[in-house]
Amino acid sequence: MSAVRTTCAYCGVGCGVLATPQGGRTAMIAGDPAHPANQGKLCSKGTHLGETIGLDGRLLNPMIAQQQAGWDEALDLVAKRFSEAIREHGPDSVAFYVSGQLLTEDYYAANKLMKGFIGSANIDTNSRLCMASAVAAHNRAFGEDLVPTCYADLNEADLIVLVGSNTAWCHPVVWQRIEAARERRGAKLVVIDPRRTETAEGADLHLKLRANSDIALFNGLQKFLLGADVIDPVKAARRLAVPAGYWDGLGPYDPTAVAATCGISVPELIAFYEMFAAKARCVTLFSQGVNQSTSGTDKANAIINVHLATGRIGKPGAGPFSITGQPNAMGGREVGGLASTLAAHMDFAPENVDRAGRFWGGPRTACAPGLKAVDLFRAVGEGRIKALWIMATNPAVSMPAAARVREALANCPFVVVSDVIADTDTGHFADVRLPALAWGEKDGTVTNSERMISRQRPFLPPPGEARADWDIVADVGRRMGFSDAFAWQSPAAVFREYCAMTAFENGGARRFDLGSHAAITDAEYDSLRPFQWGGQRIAFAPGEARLISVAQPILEPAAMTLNTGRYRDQWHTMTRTGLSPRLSQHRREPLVAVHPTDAAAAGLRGGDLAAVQTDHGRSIFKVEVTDGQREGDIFVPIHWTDQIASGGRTGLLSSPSVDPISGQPGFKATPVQLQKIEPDWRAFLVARHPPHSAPDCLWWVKVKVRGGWLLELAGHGEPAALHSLLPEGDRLEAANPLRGMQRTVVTVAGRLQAALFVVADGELPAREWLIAQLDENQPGNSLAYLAGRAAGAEASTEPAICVCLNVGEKRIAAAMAQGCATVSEIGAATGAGTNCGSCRPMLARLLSERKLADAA
Amino acid sequence: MIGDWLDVGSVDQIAPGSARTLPVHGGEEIAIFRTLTGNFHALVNKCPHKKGPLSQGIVHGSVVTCPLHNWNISLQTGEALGEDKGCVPVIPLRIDAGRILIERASVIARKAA
Repeated sequence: MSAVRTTCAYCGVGCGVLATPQGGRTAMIAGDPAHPANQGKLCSKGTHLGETIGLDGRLLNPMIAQQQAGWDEALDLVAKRFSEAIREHGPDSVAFYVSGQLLTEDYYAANKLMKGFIGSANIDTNSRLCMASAVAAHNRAFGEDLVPTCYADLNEADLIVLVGSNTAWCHPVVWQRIEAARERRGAKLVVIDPRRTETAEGADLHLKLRANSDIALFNGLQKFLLGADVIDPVKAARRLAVPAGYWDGLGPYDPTAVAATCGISVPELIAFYEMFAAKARCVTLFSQGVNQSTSGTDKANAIINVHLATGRIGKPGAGPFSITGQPNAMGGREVGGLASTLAAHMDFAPENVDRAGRFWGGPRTACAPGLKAVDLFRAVGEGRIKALWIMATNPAVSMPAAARVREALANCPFVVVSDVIADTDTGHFADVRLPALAWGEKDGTVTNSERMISRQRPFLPPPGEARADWDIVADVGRRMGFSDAFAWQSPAAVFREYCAMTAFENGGARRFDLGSHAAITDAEYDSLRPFQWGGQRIAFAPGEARLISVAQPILEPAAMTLNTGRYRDQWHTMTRTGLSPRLSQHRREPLVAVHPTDAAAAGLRGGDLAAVQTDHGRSIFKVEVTDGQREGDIFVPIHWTDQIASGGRTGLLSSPSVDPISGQPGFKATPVQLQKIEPDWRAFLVARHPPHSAPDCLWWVKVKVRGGWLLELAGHGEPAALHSLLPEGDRLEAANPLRGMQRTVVTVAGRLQAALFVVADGELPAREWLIAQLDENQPGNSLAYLAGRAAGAEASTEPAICVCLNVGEKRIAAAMAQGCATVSEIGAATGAGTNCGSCRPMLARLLSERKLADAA
Repeated sequence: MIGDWLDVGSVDQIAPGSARTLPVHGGEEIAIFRTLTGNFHALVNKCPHKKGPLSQGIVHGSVVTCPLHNWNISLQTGEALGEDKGCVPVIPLRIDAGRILIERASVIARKAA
């Protein structure tokens, strides 16, 4: 079969993907050379999409409680319960919580039903947790949620400033653009992040600033630029709306005070300011470090203020660039599927409510903002929401103070969950589960961070009884009595109506206008090529954009704070990426990253277990000691869930405090305590099939590997119960009770089925060789399995650094020993880093560590 | 001469695929291994890596895998195998009429450092 042009399921870069089905549930995945976002490149997650499209764990049929049901029965029940709740308690007693991973057509259908027919604005999205502050900042500055820049600006910049973004891990293909700009144009890179991430390792300047001190930094920058005549208030007043007292409100220029607030040195501060002053072509790209803060909106406006005041916006190579997290958060923002907007970039002004009502022809249009995510789940907890429909997201894991969200879901009278996976932490609370189409089966449009609308096209048949989300919503709409308004027969029909709405009575009032596509034919929709709305860049006429006065909040001192974020090769709650053995290699377990001074104070060493505790919850992590952290600031990943671990439950820990303007939670700075945990024993299990039930011990993590599963375990008391995790088969055991060491190997016809290794103190052997034996599935020597390695002289297998081409650290060290001195040379010698490029920052780091070691 | 060899026990005292230790007064402990195929070897009972007790390792083929960090040590040469570098002294051993004999001079000379 020939290649299908679609886009990636993961981040907001929105890379074009060519998917070629190979029969069954397999496909070859490659970057689409013709897509403007990536021009053929893909990162590690996108490259390995082929490992996540099997049917393992898929929800294939509607479920009512634990029983399979037909679509009619399930959707009649949904329609009935929602209608009843509305009748008895009013439209605001129901809610939708949707997702930046829904397609635009899905978002449009859900938004239309809730805002135009149920008549409530209680539709919010997980984008509240990621982009809401950027949206609010754009609205304040530009009057509309507009991203004025484009990816090409990164190619043309002389200075790129990354604020609160671990771009190399979270938007890797954009990172590759930045690397190329540095190589080709000599563009300078400044990274502003409390952590020395892989992104920061290679920067020209890394400001390891104190969390949430960004406003002081950027307000101070404006003072510096005023002094350096880069900002002229008179000229600025001609271009922009400037609030009274704006310049005075920035305060006197005081680099010592700014540096102290930011926790950096004065020379570093000045270096940044001078670099910024000198480079007119500069892009400030910002992500969750800015957005996920209780002052996120103000932080984003501080950055936008600088670009507006200097006029460095709407021109090649210049502008404030809010990069989007999810693949279709932008589509959701455009549709207006948020509690804080009405639809199509319209707010709740009476003329907009009237307009939407006339366009949709519904009985009742929402006329005021609804419940934003954190408030929504609080309302659920208080019993004010009688029916809740969650689509394509996992709030039981990802919401801050997740324990309260779980209680709320448990007590909500009627919870519907649409998902592709049967067992998720959130699905556990559902009264009805509805099987939705997954990536590769979905058919619709998405918008990426640079306003480029692309098609997602199916290349796999719909499995089981799964249906498109827009189709499920429309069906419920019809069953609630709104037949005509929800009669679409195809995604093209939904798209046409949506485009028509964006143009309806618009006439330039809103830049977001897809009227050009309101009449496209089905054939044109099928073959639709990516197009960018708003033009390549967005410039503002005089007075259209405004400066917003923002002030640095007082930062409460805390003995230790908790920061959260992503790992390079996992996406969100791992319901998809967790299926890929390759992607599991980068970080197998959830780690808490601790500065050496903090580790010493807590008596912690790398590999120990530690309890991480906040006012909202507690969870156990394995420890990583690194001086990349700021002292007093620890970092944990967001990905692990009850399905795959007993610990690493970051959602339980974060404070639900939100930004007062955007309602976005501040995930990045929660006061925290760290405490060492000493297990009596540690163990691992390598097994062809996962154990039937979760282990009952202090610490367990389940990892997908080639050929089966790896469990890492630790606990107190007797490890005897671990034997219940072993399958049937021939057993061989070795034990040393005095040392608390046990090894058990299970084979069937000589082929390894499982190996369990337990130690009380001392080390466990490397797992790689045993995993390779599982994968090869050949009869072998049971004693070798018991030893954990073959009796020969061959090298031990080791985890891959280049996951795409399976190149481990020893081969890379050998290449360096033979004279490879750059990342490209290592690539030429071993292939590492030449496919998706995600490991290149790691290769650069190995090179610089070796240079330091050689110099010492 | 018979005095050059110490009789340390009967072959039946060591099960195939396992090892027993021999404490040496004023010297280093010795591990005596019996492989599954019936060969006997003796090594100083200290892994060249971090001095792990080789006698507690898994014996397979003519190799013992140290229980501490999984180094493979050849029972024939005492050398670490694979990329690991290191060597543990081999104690000459012979079997005579069902008795295990080890070379006295090697044992006595092997005083703990």
